[in-house]
Amino acid sequence: MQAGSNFLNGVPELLILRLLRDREMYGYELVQAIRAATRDEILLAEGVVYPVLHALERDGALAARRQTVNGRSRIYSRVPPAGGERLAGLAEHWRRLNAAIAAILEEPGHVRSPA
Amino acid sequence: MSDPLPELSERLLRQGLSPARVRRYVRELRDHRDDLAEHLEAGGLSPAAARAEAQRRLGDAQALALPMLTHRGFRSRVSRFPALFYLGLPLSAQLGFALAGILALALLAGTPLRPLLADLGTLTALSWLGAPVLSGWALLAMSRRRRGGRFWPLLGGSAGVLLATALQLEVAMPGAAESGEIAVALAVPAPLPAALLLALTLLPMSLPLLRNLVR
Repeated sequence: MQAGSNFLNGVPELLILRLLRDREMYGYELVQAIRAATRDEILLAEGVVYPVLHALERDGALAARRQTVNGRSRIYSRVPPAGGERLAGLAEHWRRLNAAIAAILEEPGHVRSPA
Repeated sequence: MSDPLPELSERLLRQGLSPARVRRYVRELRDHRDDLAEHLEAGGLSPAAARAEAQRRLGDAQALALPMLTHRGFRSRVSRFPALFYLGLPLSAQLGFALAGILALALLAGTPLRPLLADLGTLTALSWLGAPVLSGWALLAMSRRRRGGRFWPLLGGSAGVLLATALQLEVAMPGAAESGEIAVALAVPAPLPAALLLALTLLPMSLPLLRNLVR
């Protein structure tokens, strides 16, 4: 699934926060972790993670530190407590959405068309 | 395949993102592309093919710019409040500088430097004329760095020059029967000094033109 449609808005944020909650990572590492964790089901455009990281960092949902490795400057991100709260909110939202879609898939009859 | 990162950088700067954020974003993308190319090369691709594939997976300038431009919070304060940064703050700083000069002169009147007060007054008045020139150059540099237009730095620089040439300072030394005086007034600026000062303030704008003429 290509993560570019409006329907998937919020997915990169959710994935990033969830993966960074376990351990701090830098951008490239994070993209590889997303590919591995979703078994390539969700293919983010590789550059997309950085604006999301910037936005989360700006909102205080991520903390970053810079480290030079092999001559390249890496920015490692981790999830502070505020980011954990945001992750919980996003996860809850997606669970509800998932349950709603699952219900429609199982019993589509209960969805009424407007009179 | 041409490198889209310079174009991306220019585009983001022109749209009002701060130079620091653009620099960081472009550096992250460049490092990401290098990491990815190395990884693909280790997987058996030729260096040229690995680089091209890494670039393709990273995205073009349009795709990379869009998420940064849609987030309003990424726009710098300078681009959101140009009147404040190009006009309000420089003029306030200039006024603060003028007030500090007056205060310094008043304090020096009670020290052994009192006999030099008239000369110090002249120096202060000269520094008041120099301040908008330096401030104007800083505004032009700031705008150029941010790929901003010329309107706000021109307005800020001109306002600074008008303020500096309108401020009049006179220091009268005490006579035998009368006390000294530090007088400050606002007057209509004299056209010639104002024009000269404005030309000096806006001089950096003509430097590219001069460079082209020399070539």
